[in-house]
Amino acid sequence: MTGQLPILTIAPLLFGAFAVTAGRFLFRRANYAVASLALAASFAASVLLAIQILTHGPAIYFVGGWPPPVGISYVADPLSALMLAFVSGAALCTFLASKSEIETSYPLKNSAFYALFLLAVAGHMGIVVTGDAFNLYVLIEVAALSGYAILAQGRERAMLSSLNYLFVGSLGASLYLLGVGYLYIMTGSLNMADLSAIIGRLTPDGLSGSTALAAAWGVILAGLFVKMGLFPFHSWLPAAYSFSAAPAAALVAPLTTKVMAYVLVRMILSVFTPDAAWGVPAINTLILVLATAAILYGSFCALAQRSLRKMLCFILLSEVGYMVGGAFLGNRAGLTGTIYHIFADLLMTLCLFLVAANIERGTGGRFSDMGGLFRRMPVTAAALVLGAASMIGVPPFCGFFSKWYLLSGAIAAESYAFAGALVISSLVNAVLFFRIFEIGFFGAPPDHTGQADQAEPAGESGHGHPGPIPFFRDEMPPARLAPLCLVAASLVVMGLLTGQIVRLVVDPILPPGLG
Amino acid sequence: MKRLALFTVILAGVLFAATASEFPRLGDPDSAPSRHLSPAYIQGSLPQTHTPNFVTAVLGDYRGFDTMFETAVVFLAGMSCFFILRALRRRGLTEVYYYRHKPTGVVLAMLAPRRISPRTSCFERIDADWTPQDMVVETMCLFMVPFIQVFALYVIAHGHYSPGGGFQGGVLLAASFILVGLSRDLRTVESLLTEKTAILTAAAGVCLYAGTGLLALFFGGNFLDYGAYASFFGAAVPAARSMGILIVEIGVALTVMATLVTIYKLVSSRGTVEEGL
Repeated sequence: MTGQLPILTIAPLLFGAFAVTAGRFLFRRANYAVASLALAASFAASVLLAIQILTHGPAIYFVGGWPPPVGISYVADPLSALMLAFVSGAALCTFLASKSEIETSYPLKNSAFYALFLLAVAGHMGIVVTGDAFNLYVLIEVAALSGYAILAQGRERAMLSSLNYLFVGSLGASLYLLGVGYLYIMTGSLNMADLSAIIGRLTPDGLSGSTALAAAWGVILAGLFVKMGLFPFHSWLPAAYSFSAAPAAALVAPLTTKVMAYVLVRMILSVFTPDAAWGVPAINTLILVLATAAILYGSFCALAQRSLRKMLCFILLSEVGYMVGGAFLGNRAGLTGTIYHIFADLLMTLCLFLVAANIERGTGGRFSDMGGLFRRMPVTAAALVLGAASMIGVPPFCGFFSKWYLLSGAIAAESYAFAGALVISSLVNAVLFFRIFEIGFFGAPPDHTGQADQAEPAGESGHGHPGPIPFFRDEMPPARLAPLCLVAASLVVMGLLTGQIVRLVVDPILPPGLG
Repeated sequence: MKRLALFTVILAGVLFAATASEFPRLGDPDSAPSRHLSPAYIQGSLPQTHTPNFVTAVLGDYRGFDTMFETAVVFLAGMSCFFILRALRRRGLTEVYYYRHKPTGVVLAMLAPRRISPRTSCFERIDADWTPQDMVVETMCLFMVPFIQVFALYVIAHGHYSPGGGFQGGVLLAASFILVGLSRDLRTVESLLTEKTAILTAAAGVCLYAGTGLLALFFGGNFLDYGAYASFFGAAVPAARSMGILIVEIGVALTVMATLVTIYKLVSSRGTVEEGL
């Protein structure tokens, strides 16, 4: 049965989604258990697959028994196998951590939420493992459509923001599809490995030999940039992620941008070779400028925010700049940094969005509500410190190592503006998080939990409490804290395992001649 | 901003026109798509899948995995509509239900929690904006329904030989229900295909598709490898593949039909599935 593992990573999610849909009418109370079981099965299969791939080498799975390029294939190499494990693990953690949140956020519609959640995860995992350019588009649709739906429920302008996301996201997906159409009309194939071979034959001297193929690459890039929210195409992202209910944001925010960055890396490595993808210096420079702008824009807008989740959304924008910039530095260190950062940022974003969900529940998500956070919610606050340290780039955490690779790549490519932006963004992150720490340590808590008067400054609102507030007063139950602690601890573990990850996962993927 | 948008559109148009010059001519037999994979599909579909219509063979078998996820997208669309639009709690809405006493034609207005049981035979519920309908239109539309449905079944089953298949047949089936809704009212559709049945059918359709794929694993094949069912059907591998395509097409048709009816109900009744178009 080990040969079937690539499909078994996704099958439980599909069948789980149908089961909870039917379960709405048949076994409503067990639905949460069914959904968690599906996620756990998928995670277990992903971990087994990753172990199998790391010990026995890559595997190609022929869906329907048709060998590529006639049929669709799933390609499990070290990179995709590890990414599968990360995506399914992140989804499982989010799901386990937000049980009570889901029940209160979507009253009477839990089952529909579970089904959409599972299909969203299935879509993201399929994008990671597929070896077919058109199948990837179909899976982008699955992932995005379920994402739009679950992001639509929430506070204030959630519906409008989600509709906005739908318009922009559909545009991005259409651009990607157009690019795939270009590739098909020029090569006659949709399989990534086959495409790569034919493109190499058609344009031995790089993409500049064929305008249509260069246009295909350009259109695909534009589509991916829209989908991942790179700077000029970012306007949908902060609103869509900050107004929605917490569980949806904690699922979609870590996955979508990272999986799209993964697709970018896949396109560079598996469809267009790095030589061809980086063949036009003007485009590389343009993309580096966009990435630099994204980092600076995200960082400075984050400074202007007054609530935790909104701030995280803007940090996410600058992280997208990190990943795109690293992929277009044109050297090994940069691409290594991008790939490593996809994993690291997935964990960091997950950790911080889970923290934000807890804080919104416990004290309220505005900075003015968060006085006394370290006393009221010590565990959540500790996780916040770990996540923040990783975002800033403190050494043993994974965030440090991705910045290290990206910086050395930027210096090797003599792209000092990008290097400068990376440093500035780290410093701004430090300012952002230390401001929260200050409020959390020294700010007095508002009078009533979660009902702080907005106009009142945080420092003066605690007159009603003469004595110190008790420890753990607003802390979440252990069921919500356990997954969070696991994710926060994994930030350190991943940092310590950097050498192994780069040696086992990143190095085998990169072409040996890459400088 | 409008000028910027216009400029972007024109620029994109010029770029696309410039890059399209390199494309092969329409229908060029020497173009890459005509030479690379198409011959394999065109020549292979009949001997390998027993399906003369090679579009169906590509859709249902060679690239059946894409079609499975496309069906999942249709299902997702229905679930998304349900998740976003369905108004399950009606707080703050003052609702009045109208009932007509059939023998006398007197109409009663009842405030929200009070209702007349639908089993009470001498009253029938009518929409708030009910107007007497044209008997000719209603009768003709209801007369059309069985013909549409038989044609839909034909389209589904004959997809192997002629244009057609699950998506088209499913849309036709849904159209027959929507025609009932348009010519009569939403409650008639609801009594024919309740919301619960529709959602279960939509899930069952995709489940039939994915289940056909998964079951192949137990017959020793890969996911969606219908050839593995050869021993089960007691037929040759191509015939088993043909059967597999038919089964998944039926799954697609069920999902498409149920999803479209669900979306129609939700959108036409503002999420209440009480009364509407």
